[in-house]
Amino acid sequence: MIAGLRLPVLVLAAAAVLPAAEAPRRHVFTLPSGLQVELLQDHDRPCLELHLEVRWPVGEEPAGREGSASLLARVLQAGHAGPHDAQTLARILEERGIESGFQAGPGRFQWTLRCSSTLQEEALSLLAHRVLRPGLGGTDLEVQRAQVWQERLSMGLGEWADLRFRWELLEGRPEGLATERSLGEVGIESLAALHRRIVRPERARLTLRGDLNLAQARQLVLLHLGTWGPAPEPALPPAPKAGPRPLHPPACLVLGTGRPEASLALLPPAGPGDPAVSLLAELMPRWLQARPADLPGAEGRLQALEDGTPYVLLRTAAPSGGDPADLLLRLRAWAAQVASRAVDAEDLALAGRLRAHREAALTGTPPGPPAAVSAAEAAALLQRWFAPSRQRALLTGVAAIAPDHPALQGLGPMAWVRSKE
Amino acid sequence: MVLPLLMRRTAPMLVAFAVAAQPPEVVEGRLRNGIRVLLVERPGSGMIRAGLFFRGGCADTGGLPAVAATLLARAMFTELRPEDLGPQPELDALLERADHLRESLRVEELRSGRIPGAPGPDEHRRSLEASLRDTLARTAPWTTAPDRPDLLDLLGAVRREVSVEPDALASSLDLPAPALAAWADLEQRRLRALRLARLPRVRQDLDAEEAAHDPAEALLLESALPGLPYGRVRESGRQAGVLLADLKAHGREALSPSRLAIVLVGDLKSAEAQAILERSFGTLEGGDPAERTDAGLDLRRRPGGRRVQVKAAGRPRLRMGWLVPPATHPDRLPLEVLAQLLERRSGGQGLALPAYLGGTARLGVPGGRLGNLFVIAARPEEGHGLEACEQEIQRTLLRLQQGGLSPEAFEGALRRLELAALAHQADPADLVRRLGLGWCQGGDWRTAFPDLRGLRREGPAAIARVVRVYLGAEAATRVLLEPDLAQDPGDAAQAELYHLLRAQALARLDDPVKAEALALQSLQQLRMLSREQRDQVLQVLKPGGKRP
Repeated sequence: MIAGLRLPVLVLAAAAVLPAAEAPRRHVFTLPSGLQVELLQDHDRPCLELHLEVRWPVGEEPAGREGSASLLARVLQAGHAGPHDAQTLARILEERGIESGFQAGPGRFQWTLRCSSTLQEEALSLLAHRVLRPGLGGTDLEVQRAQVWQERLSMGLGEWADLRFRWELLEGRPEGLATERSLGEVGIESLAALHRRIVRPERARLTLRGDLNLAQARQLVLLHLGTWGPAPEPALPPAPKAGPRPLHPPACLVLGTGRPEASLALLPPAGPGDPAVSLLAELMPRWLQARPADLPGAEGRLQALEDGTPYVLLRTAAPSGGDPADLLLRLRAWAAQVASRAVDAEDLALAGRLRAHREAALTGTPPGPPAAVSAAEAAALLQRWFAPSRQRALLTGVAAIAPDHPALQGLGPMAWVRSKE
Repeated sequence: MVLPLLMRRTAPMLVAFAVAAQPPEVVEGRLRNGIRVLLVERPGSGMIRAGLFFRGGCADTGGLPAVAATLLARAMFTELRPEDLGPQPELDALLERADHLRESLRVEELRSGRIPGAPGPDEHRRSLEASLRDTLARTAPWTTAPDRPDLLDLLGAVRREVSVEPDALASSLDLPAPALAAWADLEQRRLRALRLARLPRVRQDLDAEEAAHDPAEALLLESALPGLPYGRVRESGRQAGVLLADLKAHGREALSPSRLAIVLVGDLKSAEAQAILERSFGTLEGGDPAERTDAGLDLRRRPGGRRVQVKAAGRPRLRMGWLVPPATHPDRLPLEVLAQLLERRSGGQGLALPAYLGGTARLGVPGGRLGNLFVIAARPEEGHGLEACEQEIQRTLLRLQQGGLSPEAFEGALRRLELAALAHQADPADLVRRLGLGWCQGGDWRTAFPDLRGLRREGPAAIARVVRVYLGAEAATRVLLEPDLAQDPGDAAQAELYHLLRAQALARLDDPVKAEALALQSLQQLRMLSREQRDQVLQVLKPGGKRP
């Protein structure tokens, strides 16, 4: 089939993809506090971008105060920073032409700043204030609390079920979702304690990109973030990057209303830092292109949770009168088909090259050596990734389903979503 | 005393000079068949971002619906497999057959919908469906077999993107620098063959995407730009009528060399890259070399004043749109600054949209070669009606029109535009996109890197001027989407409230339709209250309920 191709051209190109690296533009260093810093030098443009990300295990919210991380995110969003209240900070940013942003997701806070490189000192100082001294007491906590709850209330039941589905994939315990009561329990002190507990240097990564050299970067980071030390609160458990990722019941959420649909999520047993997971994730979109003939409208995608963990999501809608449970059965058969694939060394070599190129394209640095994973390791991981015990399902538009329905065989227990509480 | 004051006054100017964004250094060329080439050298990364940009997108599909552009771009560029490069008579025959069966099925469904109970439609339909399934299954060895190599994967290409804009079709990717010649050769062979092998799967994907489509944007464009090309770029549900043969005929025109610009940014040498492109893309037959000379939208015949009210699932939302000039017009920049100011809470002084509106402001037609629509979208928090939001938006615009914008806020907005332009240049993917789209939408890549000096000279008055000229209340098209509360009351408490209101109305009115309408109207008004107040009403309405 490939005979018509100019194979020598392809082979030569594929083999000779790693050019001689020039002087690296990327530097990585770690402060004694554990803060990881990455510098991407770019002297072509007189601007600087700062990106600070903190990740933590989602279950760190204290029991009985679920939703406090969402509330903390809103307070951080409000924009107090050290000596500046929100309005003053906004005015400073406005006058200097500094672009500032904050984003939050389950288990993740991100601050970004973009400015002229002449303002690098001021930008680092503002970033440090926003991250370390967010002035929690200066915010109207009641307003923020009401808004968090309002957002939750304004969701439709289907949207809520989808959120809960993702939340359970991420955390493995549905009680992590906020209730009106748990939000009401959160006060300024507990919010400050949570801030100290999760916003820690050893959980953070700072990326500086722009017109800055290594010496300047070290000096600026030490000056403004060097005092960011360990908090008195107990240390968090180690990051789940490459470790095993547990899953908990329920394995199947069922919603009586909505469009009849079935979704099946398959979460790998290790995090995004695991080399075998990242190589299989590179190959997965190609494997999912082949859809079973009995599921013509189905889609199979590789998605990522907020902590970067890739997962496979198979989803299909029922034609009118169709039974979502029957669709789930067929999605599970599709999953079994993918899991039975043979993974060969050629697949892995291709995935390794693509992975290296992706990183090179993202960082603007020459591709590094591809990760080495044996075919046996990858095949074993694939089996575990798609095992029934790691499958999580969401069914919507289901009037009734028996717990011993064949679609649920081998899955964990089922739970009905009847309200947003 | 004077020096600090002087420093304070001049600091913003110094900063402005420091960051003034220069356009990138682009080497421009043209192949012998007319294809444009834009090259930017960025040595050291070992990678090249490559993009193919075809002028004319979903607003330029001739007699076909806009979705034809998406079908064409995705079927053509999402993958590259051996069958895309040479003759495949067996596959072509199967694709044609699947296409005819799909069309017969569509016609049958239309017919059975029009004549209920017509003899044997179900049986015929089932037979057509079975034939279609069988035919598609037979195409699977070519179209979905994961063991068949994707040739761009073999080259090491990553971050592949296919995009369809109103004025452009684009395909771009990152590839290792040594693979440039192989990529160019494969792409020119693909363009020459113009085989749409993945069309059946692309159709399925689009069907699934359309199910999750929010109708708000499509309604606004259709209402604000009726009968104009941009008015139908978001319309949905039209792909079934687009046949493979039509799509191929459209592809031969839409993907012709005269419409193509190749943009490369990365680890390359311009002369070598140009020679590689000449040997590959340069051999494609030229097509029509004529430059496009479409007339722009006539702003003088702005329809405006339209108001569309629709029941739709989800939270209540409002879209307001005003017709504004195209990408190349000097007023485009102040309109972009205006959009930024409206969205930023930090601007303060009542010149930004209030936070409770959940508002965004932007130009609604990406690019907008012929003209554009300035769109303000609001998704208000509970307790705020859409009419009140509309009035608040008008009040905000009026304050801007009266010149309430401070020079500092204006200068800050300009600086953020400059920084954004610099940041776009830092990322090769972003730079390729801007260069390519700039050429497709403005006729010249430089239009994507506008010079802010003129706007800076005019000052904040420019913002007041564009609001006055384009964003008058009479010129606005409004689309209001509100949930059908009978179908989707929101939560259990509201559902209960609705049932109680309906029961009360039925007790007083004989006509159930009127009773239903009254209950819905009451529920709509009660939604303006806080949750606590609504709970109190619920308690009062419950049988035996008392006033708190």
